Amino acid sequence: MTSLRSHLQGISITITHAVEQDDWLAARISFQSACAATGKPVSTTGHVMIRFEDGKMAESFNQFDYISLFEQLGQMPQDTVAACLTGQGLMWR
Amino acid sequence: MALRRTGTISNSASPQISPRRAANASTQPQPLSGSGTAMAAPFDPAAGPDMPLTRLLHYWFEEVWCKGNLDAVAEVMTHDTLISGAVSALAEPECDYGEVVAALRNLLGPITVTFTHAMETRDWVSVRLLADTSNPRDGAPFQITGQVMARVKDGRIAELHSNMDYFRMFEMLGQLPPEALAICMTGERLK
Repeated sequence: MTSLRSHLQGISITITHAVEQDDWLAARISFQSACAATGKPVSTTGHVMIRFEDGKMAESFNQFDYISLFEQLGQMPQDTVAACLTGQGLMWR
Repeated sequence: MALRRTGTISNSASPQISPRRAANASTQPQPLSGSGTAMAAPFDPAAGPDMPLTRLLHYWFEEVWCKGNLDAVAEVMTHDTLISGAVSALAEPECDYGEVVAALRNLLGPITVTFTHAMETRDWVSVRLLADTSNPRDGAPFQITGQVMARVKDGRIAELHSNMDYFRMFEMLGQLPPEALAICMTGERLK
């Protein structure tokens, strides 16, 4: 995560949807930042499901759309998911 | 994050969500409803608690994604259903939903979906899921995780927001190099 942060600047997080039940929280998150190299804004979404115990996180399950983020950072081709759905593969540059 | 002992749901972004990509909410969530909440971990569709929204979402996964029954799309969704998610959102406006489902199912062996965690309120359901499948080329089994949040109106899904671990899926199918996510975190590029 420290490595990823070094490629970004000005990270902000917004909880767009949240459901709470007893000790559990489910939230959908909007992630806003910018590419450190170009200043270009980037954004993605994520979901978290967290169980709290004594006011601290006891379990956390996270899911973020990293493919969209890396597309916007120029590290993956545009429309990677659509291309991969056709069976196409990617390789390192 | 404040803790509450009763279930609540908040939603600040629905009118702003792109059907293809991320929501861009700029305001804080406002409470919508707080009654009739339930939680199950895991959710058992055969003998689980009375969670009708979770059951509807499980039916959608089972019929559409596991069985390829595209008639269930019209049963569960409407033309106005708002969808966000890397694969699901490809269905609008570029191509038919059935084509997207068929394309994904064509890449994979048999799929089974388990809801490891499920929470629902009057209108909203949120689940974490495991999808067990395999690479049809060598039969190697693998598992990916996902989370889905959906709003149900009049018995149908009105909004569906999903995040699945497609990085791992395409890696296990050999379409992305091993450890692609960790290596991308260092700034490496794929082509």
